[in-house]
Amino acid sequence: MEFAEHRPYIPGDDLRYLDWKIAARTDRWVVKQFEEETNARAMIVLDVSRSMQWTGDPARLTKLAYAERLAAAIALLLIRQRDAVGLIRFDAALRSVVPARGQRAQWRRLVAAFTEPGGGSASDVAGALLQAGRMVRRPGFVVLLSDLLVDPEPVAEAARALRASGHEVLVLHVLDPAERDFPESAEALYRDPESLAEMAATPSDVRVSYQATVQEALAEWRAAIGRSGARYALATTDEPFGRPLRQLVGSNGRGAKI
Amino acid sequence: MGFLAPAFLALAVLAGVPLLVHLLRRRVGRIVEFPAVRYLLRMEKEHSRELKLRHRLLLVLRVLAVVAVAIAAARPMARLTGLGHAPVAIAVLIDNSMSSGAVRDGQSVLEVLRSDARSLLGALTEADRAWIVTADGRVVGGSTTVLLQALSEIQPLGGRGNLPNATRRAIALARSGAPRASVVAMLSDGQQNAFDVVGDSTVAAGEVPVMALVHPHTAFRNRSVLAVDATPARWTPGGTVSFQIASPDSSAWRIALDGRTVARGTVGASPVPSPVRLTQRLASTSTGWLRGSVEVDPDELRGDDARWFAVRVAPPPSVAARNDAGPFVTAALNTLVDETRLVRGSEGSNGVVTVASADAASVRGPALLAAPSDPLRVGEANRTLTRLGIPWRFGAIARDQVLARDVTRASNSSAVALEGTQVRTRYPLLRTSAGGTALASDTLATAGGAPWVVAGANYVLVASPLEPEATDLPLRAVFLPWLLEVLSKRLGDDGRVLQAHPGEHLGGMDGLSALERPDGGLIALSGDRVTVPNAAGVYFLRRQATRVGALVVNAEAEESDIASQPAAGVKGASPFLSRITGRAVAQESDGGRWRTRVLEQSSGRSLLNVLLLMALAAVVLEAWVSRLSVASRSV
Repeated sequence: MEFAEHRPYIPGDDLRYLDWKIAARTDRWVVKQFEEETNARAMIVLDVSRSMQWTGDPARLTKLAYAERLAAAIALLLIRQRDAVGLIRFDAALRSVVPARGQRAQWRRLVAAFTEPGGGSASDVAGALLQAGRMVRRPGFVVLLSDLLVDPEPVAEAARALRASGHEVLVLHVLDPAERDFPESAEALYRDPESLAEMAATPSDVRVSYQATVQEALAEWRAAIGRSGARYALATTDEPFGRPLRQLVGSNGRGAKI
Repeated sequence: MGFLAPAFLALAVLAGVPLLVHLLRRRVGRIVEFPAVRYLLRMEKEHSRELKLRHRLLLVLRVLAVVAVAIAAARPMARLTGLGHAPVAIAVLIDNSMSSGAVRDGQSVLEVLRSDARSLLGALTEADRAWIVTADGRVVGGSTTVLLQALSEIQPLGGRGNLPNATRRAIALARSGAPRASVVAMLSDGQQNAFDVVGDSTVAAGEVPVMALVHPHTAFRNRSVLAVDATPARWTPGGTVSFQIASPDSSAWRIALDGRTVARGTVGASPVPSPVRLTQRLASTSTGWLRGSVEVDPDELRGDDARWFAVRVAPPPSVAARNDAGPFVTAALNTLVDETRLVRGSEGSNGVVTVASADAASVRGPALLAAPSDPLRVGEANRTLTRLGIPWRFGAIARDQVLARDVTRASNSSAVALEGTQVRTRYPLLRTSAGGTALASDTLATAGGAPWVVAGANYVLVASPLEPEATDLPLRAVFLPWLLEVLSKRLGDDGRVLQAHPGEHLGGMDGLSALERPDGGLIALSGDRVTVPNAAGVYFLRRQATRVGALVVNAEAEESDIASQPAAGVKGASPFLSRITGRAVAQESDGGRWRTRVLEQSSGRSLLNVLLLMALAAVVLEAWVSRLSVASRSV
């Protein structure tokens, strides 16, 4: 950021921007103002709940690992075009927050944050979105990466609020192919690692119905997010990162680019 | 419905496996971590009705598949009209009696029947069981290939066989093939007297259908030799041949002896009921056992164009008579000698038969012995019997007048001679255990309930003196032939001439080693009984290399009565079918319709393929239902 001008101090201003040298020489309290050089500010909101740490095939990435790589790629992309990028990791609560910065070292800080703990037994997606909106003061971007194993309406409401604040909201729905196709063969008791909800099922008997149900749910998510004015993209962990990135990187409908 | 392998029904218990799995499905122990359980729960909530329905449908389909396979393994059969033929146990009864050898339009009746049988056998499947039964009661079973081979080897019998017995056997065989549908498929030339046999000629078929095929045909002129009799058994060297010929028109006949025609002639038209009876006196230049035949001109039925007889051409038997044999016996012997039926020989010489009183000294067998005239000589007579090894002895004298009874039931002259003979003085014969074995069949006649005339290997014993005071036998007209028969046949070396019909069972073959066929081949004998060969002809009885008699095999005269066969165009069942009682006894005259009706008796089919298809359909349906997109239609 380049220095722009001084202005008189007003109580409540951030003391970090107080010009101490002028105060020492002239006993006047002024604060420095800077001319921002970034094009936009973005917050990446990453779901790190326990369900995200699951994979249906040991040969595939977990949903979290897949989402982290996507987040890193998005962040790098934004930083290189001089946008400020921040990160919110959440499960039932915020796990870690990295404020948006446009510096090159910011990417390393973001990646380092991926190693911080997570794995909570719930996902407060809506809360995390609203928090991200609050952290991006100017209208900017909020990118949500989550498996969205929650009810769509609160999330859609949060997205709608962010849109009302002028933010661009991008929702990336991360799904393991096994969650979509239910390829299990043996009858078993299936247990949700987060909610510990259980259900016995014979995949061969219910597979078709299950797949139909998943498609219904995805359609509902797409509709709900679409109604809120946000953008929605589905990413399965068996597909290359390029496809969801191409869905995200493009026209936002108002001429802006992520 | 029946099952060929009902034990496999036990497999049906496997149907409990899907049920068990269904009931225990909520008790699965394996836990799988799956974050998208919310989708499973939502699915169950949204599609619970369809899922339950589908689960039950899948359960039903799986149980159905298992049950269908289990039932199919048990090889079920059901009578379902209009669905082809079920496995059938079929006895193909072929009436190959002599009359089936008749040739019409260049083809024998048997060949036509064989063709129909072949067609029926060709329609059978591996699930069927079949046998071929011929009129002589022979049975062949096995695969279709074996049966077709056996069918091609069937030849017309030399006689009529025993169709009632063969029918009973066919019914029993068909019945043994249960639970297959049993049926007897009879093929016959329809000879109306086919069931006219000695003994029980009615057949109870019960539930086993009997479908007969009788082709209509036109009557033909059949010439036949109905009977022939050569007398005496020993020609010295001449004899007489009496025969009967039936012919619808005039026909030439000839008599052949040892292959040479020795007489010929012509007869006029004469139907079977009243044949022409002829007698020819002949003499032979050959000696030994000879085959003879009486033949008529060939016609469509060759089997009865010739009839066989056998004679032995040899010098007369030799006899030596003791004076104590009595004046009547001596006079009778003189007469027979004068007629060259006997010659006198020296007592004790080989082959010479002695006629004497039983009390005579130094008598040797073979001998015709009569009881002594003097009751005081009975003791001496019994000692003679003991010395000769004869297992009989004279009992206490009986002077009551009784009539002799023939116990041999034979129809020859000697038996007739003894039947009704008055007996005034007799010494009832008692069997002893010493000196040999006496059989009941040794007794030729009884008097007063006790043996009166008995015979053995080299003796004939009369329990009365052959004098008018003791019995009127010497005074009877048949005394001479009886005496000749005793001396030549029983005690001489005339040998035996047995008359029989093809397929009969004869006893009395002890001491014989083989039958010599007309072609010179031998049929080995073992035991006392023999089944008469099916081919007509003369079979010499062999004791090692020596001919000791002849078995003359001729068809029954009734078999030549083909005029009783149904004529072309005559409708209705053949009369012989009325002898068969049962649920379904029917006759067809067309081979195709007959085959259809035979197989219709098992209308229905094996459910094997149906059940396998059902099981397959259940499996396919199960696979389809389990992949059925209940929800996809609504997305």
